[in-house]
Amino acid sequence: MEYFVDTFTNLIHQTAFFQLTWGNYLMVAVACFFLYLAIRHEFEPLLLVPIAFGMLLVNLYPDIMKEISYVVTDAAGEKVHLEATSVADLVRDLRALDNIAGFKVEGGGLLRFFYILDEYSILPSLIFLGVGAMTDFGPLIANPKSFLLGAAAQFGIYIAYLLAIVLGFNNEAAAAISIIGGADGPTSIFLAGKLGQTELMGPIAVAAYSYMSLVPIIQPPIMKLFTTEEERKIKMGQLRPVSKLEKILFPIVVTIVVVLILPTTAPLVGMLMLGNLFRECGVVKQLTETASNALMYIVVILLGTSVGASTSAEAFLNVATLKIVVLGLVAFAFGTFAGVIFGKIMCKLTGGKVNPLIGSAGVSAVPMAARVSQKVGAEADPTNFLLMHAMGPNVAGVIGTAVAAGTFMAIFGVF
Amino acid sequence: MNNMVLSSVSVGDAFLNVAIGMITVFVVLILISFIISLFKYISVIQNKLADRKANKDLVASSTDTVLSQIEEKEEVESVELTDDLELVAVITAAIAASMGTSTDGFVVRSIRRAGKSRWKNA
Repeated sequence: MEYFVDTFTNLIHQTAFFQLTWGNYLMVAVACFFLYLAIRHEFEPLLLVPIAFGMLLVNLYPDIMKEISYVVTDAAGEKVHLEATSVADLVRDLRALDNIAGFKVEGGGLLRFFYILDEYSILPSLIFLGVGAMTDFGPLIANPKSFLLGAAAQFGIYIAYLLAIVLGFNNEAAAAISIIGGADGPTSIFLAGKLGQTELMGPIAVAAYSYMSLVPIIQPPIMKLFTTEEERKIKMGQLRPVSKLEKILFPIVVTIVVVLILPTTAPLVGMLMLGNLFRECGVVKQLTETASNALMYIVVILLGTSVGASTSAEAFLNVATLKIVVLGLVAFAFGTFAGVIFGKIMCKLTGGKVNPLIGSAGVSAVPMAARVSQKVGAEADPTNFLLMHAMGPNVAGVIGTAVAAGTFMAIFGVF
Repeated sequence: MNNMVLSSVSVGDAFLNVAIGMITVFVVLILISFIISLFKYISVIQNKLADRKANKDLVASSTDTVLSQIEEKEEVESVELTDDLELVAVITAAIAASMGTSTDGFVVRSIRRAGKSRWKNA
């Protein structure tokens, strides 16, 4: 009987009820709410379902994100206690020991292994490969001036960076947070990983992906506020047709130019352009198909669940998260603002040939931001079709955000 | 959270980083923009080459017509062969047998002797 009671008590204490804090329960509720939004209202379900489920799992069973530990044993099979948290320290400690008999890697929760792929910037780069394979750069090649709008919309990043510094974040953390202003989830995760801001990666990724899905709600009021009815009605001339050769040369030329100037952008810009070359060269249909479908969705599952799992209550429920969410919104709003203003300038300089609404598409949420330009333009004049014109700044924005991230890495001397 | 320590960078340095960042983004994108704007000449050159090729094709197509005339002549000869009903029947049966279908699905219109056949080596 005593054995039964002991076992039963042990079993009860093994249940999550004794391990979790109120914060975990709150995050479970948040995760369920996100699942509701994703499934009932189809709110970016491809991203939100895995993110919310990762969030749910880590707050029910925190060890699913358990760190990997290195265990060293001596001749007697006893564990040798090591304090090392980095590989460099581990090597130093191991060198100092003379009675090592065994070494093994222990533990590590399932989602921790997925998360390592985020930390090493592997998954964001693969997402870029898929984005490249899905993107038609034709509108940008036909109207290269769009690059200017893609550059202007990065202004939000720098506003957020300054504000983050003022709010007390250190230099690297501020830079990692600021990239949310590009409305680019993969680049945000990429830079947070490269700058060693892994503790902030969860809030940054959640904020970036949230704002990406909120593009249709956040952008239109700003766009309408800074443009006149007449400007919104401007119809843009038809884009010139772009030949196959131009489309093939584009990814090669962009890679050479950008990577020569900013080698740190090679993982992002390189993968983006490789994906696009797959698409345009026409001789590797299987690779295009894989990069834009199967591989892309595999990566989304790994990235989504692991990003969700980085939001355990103790890592997520704090003032820093709140600041990041606010900074992200400010950055995104300023990016939209700068894009529209630059669009207005281009409108004036070209004598009214450019609709300023395409400027807001310079933030890199592809193709949502371009669709928003189209929608707002069509509201002013139902016969106005801006979508293809807005795709130019939109895809330029992806390159612009990657360049901004690469510049931060160069400034901080990170490779 | 060890990132919440007070900023290790002065606001002045931060402004400098912003200036460097903005300028780099603009310079890089303007440079690409300039290079890509040269792409429009690619289609101009391609069109010119295509025109030249079209001219050549015109010459080539005239030789083609000569060839096709010869082919037509051969065709007429082969049509004459189809008068040989026995041969047509045999070939129809052979095709049907090898395709595993009935003879209803196709008609043998033309029979031409193959110049060099592997059958000769058999």
